[in-house]
Amino acid sequence: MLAAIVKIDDDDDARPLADGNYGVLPADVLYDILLRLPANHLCRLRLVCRSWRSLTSDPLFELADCLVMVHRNIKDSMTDLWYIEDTSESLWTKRCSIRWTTIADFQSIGHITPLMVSDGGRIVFWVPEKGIIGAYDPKTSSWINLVRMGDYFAVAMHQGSLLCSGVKVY
Amino acid sequence: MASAGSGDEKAAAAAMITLISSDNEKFEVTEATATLSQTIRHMIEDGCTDGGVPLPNVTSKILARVIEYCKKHATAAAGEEGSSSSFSDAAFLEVDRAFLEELEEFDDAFLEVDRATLFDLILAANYLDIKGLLNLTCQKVADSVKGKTPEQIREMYNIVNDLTPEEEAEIRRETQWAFE
Repeated sequence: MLAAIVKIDDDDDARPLADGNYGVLPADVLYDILLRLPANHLCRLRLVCRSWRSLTSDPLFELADCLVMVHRNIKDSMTDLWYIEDTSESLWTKRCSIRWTTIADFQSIGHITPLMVSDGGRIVFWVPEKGIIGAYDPKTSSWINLVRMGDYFAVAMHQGSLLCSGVKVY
Repeated sequence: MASAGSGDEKAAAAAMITLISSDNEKFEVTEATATLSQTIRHMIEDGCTDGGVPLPNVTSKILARVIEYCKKHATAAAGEEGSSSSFSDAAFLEVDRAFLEELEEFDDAFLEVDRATLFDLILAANYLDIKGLLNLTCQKVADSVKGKTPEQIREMYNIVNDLTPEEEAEIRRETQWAFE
């Protein structure tokens, strides 16, 4: 809000986005834009310039767009998916509800564990009762089985800078 | 452009607000349209909109687009208020859904602008405090950055890399997992 607005010729398509160069987009707007990006994209964006680096180093970014699942009704296998959108304002949004029994060959599936959210918005789940890893697409409310794991006890997927690698499956 | 709002059915009955762009063009809009902007809403509440609202940060070109957005979404907001009383009416919900789809199409078409215009729209939405428009335009920029390398982003947005090679190496070490 405080950064000066610099008018540049209207025909000029290449407008600076960083605060440190011309200050065309105010820092809070840039912050809002960067918060919309998944964590692995954000890490790469730290290399753009100093102002982007300091903005993306905010600890809030680590929790942004975190997925939270709430198993609402075990009998009907209803699950709500909530996302933490903005930790500073405690902004939570329910993006979708899944009724598992309406998805083919899912009856009394018990507890389902989310593993990751892909960039396209698909959510990868581990279904312990069935030994299946599958992906749910909230846009089409459809499910596909990815891997049949068989008799494994537990599966977890972790992603983060502390692990120093993309994905680990135990 | 200056006679905006004349097509509205309720225009005659509704209070009109005059917005004045940085290049001194006057736009007359309904209060319902204008109050999508929190900034203008506060001005109206404080009773300081007589003689028009000067917007020295917004050009007529951008203000026309912003008003276009607000008109469309003000109609949507009015429709939502009307529907709450007959919420259980399935047929009404069906109409509602069709309207929401139309609104989504409008938003998509609205965003078909060059980067300079998109930035001006963001600045105007930020200054006028129009949440929906700011959300829409910021998401568009976020989508354009997604999957791009730092070099591509610098080139796209004309950003000068002011990091020293040492700092770059440090960032790469910190975030090694994201580059694999």
